[in-house]
Amino acid sequence: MTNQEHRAQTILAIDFGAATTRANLFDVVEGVYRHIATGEAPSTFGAPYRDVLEGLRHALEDIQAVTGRRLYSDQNPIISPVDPDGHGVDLVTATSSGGPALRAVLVGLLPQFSLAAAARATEGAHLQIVETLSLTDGRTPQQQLDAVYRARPELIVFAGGKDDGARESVLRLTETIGLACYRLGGGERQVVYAGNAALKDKVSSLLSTIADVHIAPNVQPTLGAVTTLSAGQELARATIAARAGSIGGLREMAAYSQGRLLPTAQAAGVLLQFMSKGTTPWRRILYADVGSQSTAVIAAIDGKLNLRVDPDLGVGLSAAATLRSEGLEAFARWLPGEPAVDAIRDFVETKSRVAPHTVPVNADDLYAEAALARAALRGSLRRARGITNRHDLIIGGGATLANTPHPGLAALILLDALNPVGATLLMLDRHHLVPTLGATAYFNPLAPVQVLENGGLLTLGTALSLGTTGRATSALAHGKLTDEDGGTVDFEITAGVLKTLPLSAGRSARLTVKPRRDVDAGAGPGRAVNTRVLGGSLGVVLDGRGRPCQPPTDPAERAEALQTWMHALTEG
Amino acid sequence: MAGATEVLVTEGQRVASGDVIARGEVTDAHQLLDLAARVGVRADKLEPYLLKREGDLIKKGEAVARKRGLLGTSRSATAPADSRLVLLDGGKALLASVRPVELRAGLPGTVVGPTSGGVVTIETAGAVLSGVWGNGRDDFSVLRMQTAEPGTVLHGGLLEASLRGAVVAGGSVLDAGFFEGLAEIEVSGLILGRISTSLLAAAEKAPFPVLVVEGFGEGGFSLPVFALLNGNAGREVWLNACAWDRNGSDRPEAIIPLPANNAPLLPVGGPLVEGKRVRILRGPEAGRVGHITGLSDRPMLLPSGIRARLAVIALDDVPGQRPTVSAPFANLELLI
Repeated sequence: MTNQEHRAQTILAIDFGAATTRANLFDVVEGVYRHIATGEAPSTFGAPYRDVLEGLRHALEDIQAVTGRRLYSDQNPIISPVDPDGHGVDLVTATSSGGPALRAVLVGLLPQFSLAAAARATEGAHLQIVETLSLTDGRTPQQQLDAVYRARPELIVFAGGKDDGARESVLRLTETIGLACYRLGGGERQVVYAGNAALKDKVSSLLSTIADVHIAPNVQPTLGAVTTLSAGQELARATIAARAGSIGGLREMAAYSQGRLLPTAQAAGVLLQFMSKGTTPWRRILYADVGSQSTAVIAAIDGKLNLRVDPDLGVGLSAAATLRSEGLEAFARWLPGEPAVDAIRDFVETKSRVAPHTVPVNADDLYAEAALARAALRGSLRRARGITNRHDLIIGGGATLANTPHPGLAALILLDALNPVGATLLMLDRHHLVPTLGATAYFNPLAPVQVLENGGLLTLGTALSLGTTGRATSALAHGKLTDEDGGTVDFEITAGVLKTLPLSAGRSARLTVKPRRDVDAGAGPGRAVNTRVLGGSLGVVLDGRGRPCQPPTDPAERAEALQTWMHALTEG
Repeated sequence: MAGATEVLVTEGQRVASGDVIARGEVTDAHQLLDLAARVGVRADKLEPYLLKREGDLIKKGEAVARKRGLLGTSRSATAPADSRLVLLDGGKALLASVRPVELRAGLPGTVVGPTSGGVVTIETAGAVLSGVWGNGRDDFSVLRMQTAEPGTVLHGGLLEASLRGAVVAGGSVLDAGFFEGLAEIEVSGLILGRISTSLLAAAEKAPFPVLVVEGFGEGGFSLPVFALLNGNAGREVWLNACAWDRNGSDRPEAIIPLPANNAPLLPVGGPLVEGKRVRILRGPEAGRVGHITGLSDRPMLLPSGIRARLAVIALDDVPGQRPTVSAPFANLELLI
């Protein structure tokens, strides 16, 4: 970190999403970093611009209009450092999740070991896996070469052998990869090698004349031990390098951000890891970001990260792919009434191909948008491995959640899709601060902390969710909420009911709950919970709908239930 | 085209739709031959025994390397298939089975700009109709309107032998059997206003290009699109029914070449301002077309509860009437 980066006062943090380019301006006000303004504009990855700087300019215009501070000029997409007239910013950070998912090939020695580890390492990257190779896939080296040639990857992730382990097999696969890269020719194909460390120099020398080789720590240094985090970071660098070669403007942005143009999910992971390490009261954090093209669920527990990005799950460009992956029922169960199957397919296909970045105009449209968000989030969580339903804090992000007409709908989508159990604080990232602050943390760790402490995220409130699968109608739990002034509210949670108790943002209260013997309030079936909870714009949410939350199958009952739940969180 | 490509046209040259503008080859499969092992020498001693060089085309059974022994014996490494030698390295040869391909112009026009780097740009004056879905095929032929109204649903009763070789246009399609009927007649293409998603699989399998212009579900052409097609019936149309790549430059489209009139190129995109023609993409008025008559300067409340800046649009797709509706900026597509 240079002195200039450390002293930086005015920070511009940019995220290039598939649908929207967002720019956040942070500055020091009365000695503390604060979020000053956000600018948004449609992203310009695609035709006719194919240059992200066009969308950025419009996003910066928003900020200039609010702050009066000039951020770009005819000569410079961004004025940095600050010029003698006080225009511009001290520091620029950038993240990107837009553009098509990179076509990637995974290579490993054995499917159940190194190939599985390679797959694990790529879960946080915006990739489309188009081919996999292993020693036991039943194909000759020539057939493997043909397969890679036909797949035309932009990125190859090569994991193979434990450290000081297999040598000839790794080199045989290296030859196949090398020949494929040679035949594919042109471009800057990226190869990430995360295999036997003893061979890293050999592999690099064999491939570096025909590909851009990134050497990462072995994802499986010993048999059975999988360490994907470091490989994930190298993969992030390779991903951005590949994107910068094909998407206009990203190279310039990488230069502005001192070479640290990060994938959006990786940057979000940096902040969540930091937050869960003891810098905040929350040790188990889940971030759920549903976008137009992709969905990310990132869990951070005591600094350990579990990061998953699904480039085929989303509410806009990927709406049709979401329906194909999750099935019609995963979408239709969240719609009131009984829409025709063809009508649902027509709506989703239109959303995906014709109108991916549009906004809902009426109530039916809003239900459909929220249903897509639930299906995408549930799908991503289902695919993720090792993420439980116990969280201290859930943060919702992405345009669908951030732009809901009422924050209660965002909370409802999070509860329905993620099915937390126990007391969980819900927050909403309306300005996409989690990834942008994550990228900033590399250069200035103080800024994220101070921005978050000063209300950067909207606190929705604490949800107490009861884990029960029964269809009982009797009371599931009784409890008491005691606020800081000693005022108490006694409550009962009945099956199928969602309701709120008032507790303002910035206030805390003591929550005591005694669940029924077969009901889990977060401490295990039948065990009482006594915890301090924070209020928010919704107060305290009491959720007795069971886990997983399943709306009634009868159309009339479902319509009534969905409306009742919506009203419970949006009519307060 | 991958590999060696020969461009056959030059800047300024006029081309017809069927003209071959480039030749090249595509690789079907690879073979890796260990030449050194087969002729029985060390890899670094192979050079004197090589009979072929990189780039050479080799027939099946032809020797790539040969070492003669005593008494007229020899050891050879031969090509297992007709192929091109693409790499010689470390005593091994990489052979690629290739087949020739030709690239045709697709539409009449003039080659503009340099043709270096394997890129040929053809310019033509005409009307462009951007679509939303294509089945991955393309063709060039005469446009036949098989519809008297924008919303006409095409069905088997409308099939006739005179459609052979034509690009047929209609509001929508009744069932999957219609695609089979068109295939039997051997039409050159189909332009639809809308299509039900339940018929996409049949459209994908059709042996001719299928272009969908407006969207998915019930309905047909919007009035302006219908008027454009109707006004050009009988002209030749290039139907490029590629898949829509929103991140790239491929969008399914129909191009109707028109006599050049030296008219300036129409601007693409630009800001939303009063007078611009737009198509509404979402909501009860989805698919309708009109002109912007007003823009809100602050976000307004929609029935969904969302606040968004709105455009007031005078619809011009109802003959004799100009009803106005409002729609969020985000839900509008700018038309030329």
